[in-house]
Amino acid sequence: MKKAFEDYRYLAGGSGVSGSLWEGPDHLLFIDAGGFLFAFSETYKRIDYAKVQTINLARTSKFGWLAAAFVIPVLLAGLIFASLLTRTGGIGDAAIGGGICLAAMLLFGVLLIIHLAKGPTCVVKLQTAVQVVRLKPLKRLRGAQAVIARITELCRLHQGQEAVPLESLGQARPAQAFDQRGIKAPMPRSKLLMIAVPLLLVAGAMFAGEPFVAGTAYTVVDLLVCLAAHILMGIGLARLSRYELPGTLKTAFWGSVVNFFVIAIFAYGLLIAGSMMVAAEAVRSDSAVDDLGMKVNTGIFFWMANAGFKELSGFAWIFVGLGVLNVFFALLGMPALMQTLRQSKSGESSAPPPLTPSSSAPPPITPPVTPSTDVEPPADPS
Amino acid sequence: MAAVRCAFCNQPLPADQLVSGANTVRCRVCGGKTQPSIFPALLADSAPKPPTLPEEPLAEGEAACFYSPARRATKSCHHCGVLISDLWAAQWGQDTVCLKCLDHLRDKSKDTRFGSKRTLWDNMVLALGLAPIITLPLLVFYWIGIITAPAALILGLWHWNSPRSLVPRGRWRLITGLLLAFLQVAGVVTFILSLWFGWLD
Repeated sequence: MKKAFEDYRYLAGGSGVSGSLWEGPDHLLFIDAGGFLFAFSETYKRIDYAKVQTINLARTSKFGWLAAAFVIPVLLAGLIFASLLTRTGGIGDAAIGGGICLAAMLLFGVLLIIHLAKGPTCVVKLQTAVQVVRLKPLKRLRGAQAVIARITELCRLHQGQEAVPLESLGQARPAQAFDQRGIKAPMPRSKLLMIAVPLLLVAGAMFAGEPFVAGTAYTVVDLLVCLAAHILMGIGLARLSRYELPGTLKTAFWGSVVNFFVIAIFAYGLLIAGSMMVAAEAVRSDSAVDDLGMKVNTGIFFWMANAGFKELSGFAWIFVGLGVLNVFFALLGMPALMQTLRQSKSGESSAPPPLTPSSSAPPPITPPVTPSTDVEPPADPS
Repeated sequence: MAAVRCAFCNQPLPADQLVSGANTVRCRVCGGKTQPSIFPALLADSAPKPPTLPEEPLAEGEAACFYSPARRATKSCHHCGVLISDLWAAQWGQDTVCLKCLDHLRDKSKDTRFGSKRTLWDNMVLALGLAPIITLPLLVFYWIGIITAPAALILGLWHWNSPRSLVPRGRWRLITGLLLAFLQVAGVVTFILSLWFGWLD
């Protein structure tokens, strides 16, 4: 990454999807990158130092979550490796498994050390009179504080050193202070989500119980509940898209959608296994080869519905894990829903704030796109 | 109304906590804690407002705005040179430009001072070249190289001279992507030829 180009000096970020921050002579250049794994496009935002109103920094809980995400695989791989070492036959015939465990421990261990060394995570937002921009390159508290100190210095240089008389700040009520600056209002109560999230919880719990409970009816009900939960949640979130949705609720939805696809892939594998089992049974009984069709298809479904620990052996725990993951996502979305319920009970946001510009600000004048033709343009006085 | 906003939910932070000089302010909507750095611009009422029309008509010999002749011209565009009123003027760093020029400079011109967006074709070619390798653990996408490799070759050659990021950088991404794509295409072609001519036998 270059440290300077033209009039700009490097402040933070890189060439990845987080973008980068550059210090210009009279403005801050924020290169906002878009893409997945790779940055496929860049949007350039130039913010005058003289127009910066506030820079807001907040620590996030991502540090803890990421640390947990790295620690858990290290511990799991360590436990499996220890169990391989301590078994009676020694590690001899499980050398490959042991090697994989060691490699996983090393990989996640290194990631954990890097993560811990980088320090706590944060979110930084820069506010002007017309926009609030999230400075995505500032993700770690230590680096962010240094960059904020530099931006503060530049802003003070362009705006003056005098103290800001905060006494004149308005006493705005959150729900009423929503205005025309492109900032969304907080989410109101949604009946659809109130139904969908508990359904997601039930679907997850039922899915985790699949290997323990045999029966076609149970599987059919589980599938229906799971589908209903996702459809209702999708519709509910789409209807609320004009509001500021809590991050946990969005994570709950997208996490459960991804989980749903993983379940589908796993079920597809199970379908193949089921068809092999049914075919093998048919060959053994010399009966079903001539009537492959509905009978076989229903046979595969019944096999899948009744498959338990005996048929699936260790793979059954994947079912349990995916179900528990769905329960986790549902529980993640619960607090945000409870908060909207509490707010609506207290009457704070039962009536959604208006989406039209507030009456205190004058309506914007749209300039004509083409020069007027009724009057000739004046000649240059010079 | 001037308001300091929460770093999590963008809702206004309680003014009483800000006035008390607390370093960290707790949002009443989401409960998140924010450390704001406040600048004088917050209270300077810097929100853009449209300039009002002149109360008196333009006097004889006074310069009028090229785009709104009823308005008095106060500036000239640094790019095209026409006389413009405050309504049609935009301050861009040290320059004053008319809104039409600004629109043109931001969307069509290659001027780095004005550019608003760029597509990073070099990254796209690299991603397409790496796609079969990245998706290899997913097994089901083993065939993806048949589509992505020719696409990477075409895009890479087509956009060889296209502007890359605003931050100057070399062509190594483009070259690596092209090389990977070329190797994949060559591999597939060799495989087909070997089947055709029976080289594998």
